Amino acid sequence: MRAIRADTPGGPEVLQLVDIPVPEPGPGQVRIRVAYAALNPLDTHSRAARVKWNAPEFPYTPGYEYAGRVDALGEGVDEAWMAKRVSAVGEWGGNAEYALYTAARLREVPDDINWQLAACFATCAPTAWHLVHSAGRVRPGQTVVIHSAAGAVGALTTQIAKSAGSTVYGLVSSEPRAEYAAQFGADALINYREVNWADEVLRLTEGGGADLIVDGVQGPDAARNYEAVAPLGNVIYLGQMGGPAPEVNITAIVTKSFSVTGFIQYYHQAVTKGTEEPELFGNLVNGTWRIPIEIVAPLEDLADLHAKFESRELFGRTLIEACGEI
Amino acid sequence: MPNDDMRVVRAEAPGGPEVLTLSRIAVPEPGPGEVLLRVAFCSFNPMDVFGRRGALPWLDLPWPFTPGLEHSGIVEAVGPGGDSSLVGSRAIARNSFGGNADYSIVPVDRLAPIPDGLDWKTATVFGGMTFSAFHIIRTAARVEPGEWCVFHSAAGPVGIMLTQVAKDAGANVIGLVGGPNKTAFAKPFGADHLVDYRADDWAQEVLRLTADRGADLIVDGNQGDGAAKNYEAIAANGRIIYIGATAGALAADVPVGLLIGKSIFVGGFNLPALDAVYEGVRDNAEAIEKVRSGVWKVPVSETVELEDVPETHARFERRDLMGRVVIRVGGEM
Repeated sequence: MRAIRADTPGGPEVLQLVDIPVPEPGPGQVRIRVAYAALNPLDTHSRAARVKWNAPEFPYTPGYEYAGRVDALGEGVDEAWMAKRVSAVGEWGGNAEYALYTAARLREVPDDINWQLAACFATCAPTAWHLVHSAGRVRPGQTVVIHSAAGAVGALTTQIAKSAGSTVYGLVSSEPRAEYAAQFGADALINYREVNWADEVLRLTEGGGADLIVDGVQGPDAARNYEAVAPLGNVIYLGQMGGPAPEVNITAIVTKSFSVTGFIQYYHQAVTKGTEEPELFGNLVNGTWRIPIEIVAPLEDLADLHAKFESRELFGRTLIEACGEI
Repeated sequence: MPNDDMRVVRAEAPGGPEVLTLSRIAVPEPGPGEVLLRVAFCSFNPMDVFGRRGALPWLDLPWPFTPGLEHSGIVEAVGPGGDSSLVGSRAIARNSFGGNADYSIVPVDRLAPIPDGLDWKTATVFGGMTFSAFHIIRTAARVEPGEWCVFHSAAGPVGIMLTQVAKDAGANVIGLVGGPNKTAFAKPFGADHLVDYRADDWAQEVLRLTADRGADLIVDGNQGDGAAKNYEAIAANGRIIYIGATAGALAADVPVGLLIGKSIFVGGFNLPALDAVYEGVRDNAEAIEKVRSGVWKVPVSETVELEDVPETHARFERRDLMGRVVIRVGGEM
């Protein structure tokens, strides 16, 4: 089969397209014929050895998030899984025509979700929902600031926060990204390279500040979050595209009375146990909330797409086609 | 009357409890936007200690400094152009230093009428602790029934109010206390468990009591080195809220990676910061009614005299106080 493989950690150039034997599932595993994989930020972070938790052993095949059809069962796996449409998140391997996955973690894809949506609905949409409703607890009339508003999580978070009745200000790094992000309904988009975005948020809120700030970027500029947040407001960090944020000073948060939250979707999903899914998937299928799939590219383009992702050139979500419409 | 002199506790310069002296000075006159309050009772508040130490630089306090952040009395005079109908009314000064004296100058926007049905002592002390606890549980943490809450300093005034507000919200409460006297003092206020942090590894005890899940909410007014255990005892998705620093040291800065690793929320809470931004922070009718009706009991532990203020500061710093100490100034009026 055709598969992407990285023999050692490094830049996008370590990703090679190779021909290797189709793998056989071990006990408790299934083999999935991959339709599409989504380009997940963790694919680039793992390739460059920037992740500690759940880091892959090299050589490995990236592909953290994908959808396909079960086509072989390992020992001890319930036969009912055979030929089921499934989505897989969290075990790498999806940038190949076939991938192995732990049967106990399989999720069946509802019939009304097409293959392309199936490849990416399991991460950014629940992430956005839990940011707004579980960690953020957004209420009508609140003000929400979303970093990377032109990214996939930013786009979904904007839409879900608007549905929750809040005012949304999105942060973007360029005019083209502002134009792109406008379609998701933010009340204003702020180009943080042109203006001091914290000042701009304070101006827009007449000095009150933002009730919720969602930051997947961090980096040294994260201190601006603490200027822009309202008393009793909350800054949620869910990633660090820009490197780690400065440490949180307890005196600063006590003095202004705000909070800082670290976000991992898994823990929030463990609490709600999927009760949000009918609303979430229903709104995705009927188009109320839209996952913006902008690029569908073949396996051979993967290295190029990693490079573009890392230089922040990609908009919305990018899919890598393995076997396509199967 | 304002032509006489008056008693006042003052510190000429920042320092230990010994810098506080009881002296006599002329009764001050209120300026525009101010009133002169004849003080009945004054609460002893940790902020008095921080002010005395010079540890509140952002407030730009005038020196000599007179403690007394929360106090009550009768309006004696209003400043030029002020509302003369205030004269003679019973009022509380909220978040306005100067109450350790027979008379204090209070900005009108920090003056509030005493709610009907509250006695002098309760009216003097209830505000800061009640509205801090109320907004921590209801507004900042939004505690839900069945959640596990851990409160540091559970025999202190805020800890006791937090316990009662959280129990009222249907939560399970674990109080941390230092020693058997404080355990006995805190017990009647309804905590489900009281853990003596001097005798036990409290984080391990919290994990045991919650079947290894950890606490959903930890409220910590101590900070210091002990704050590191908060991150052991907190559940995934839990909230840690810091409110001040009575241990004398600040908690260490927190790496964002630690917050993301366990998906936790670290908040700061400071009632005056909310006053500055939101309307009615200290006017919540439900909270006032719960205090008036005795559903939430205000823990006045003892009444001392103005002469006792330096010793009260020293006892606070030895962690020797429980509940709220009230300083009698003019007394019942």
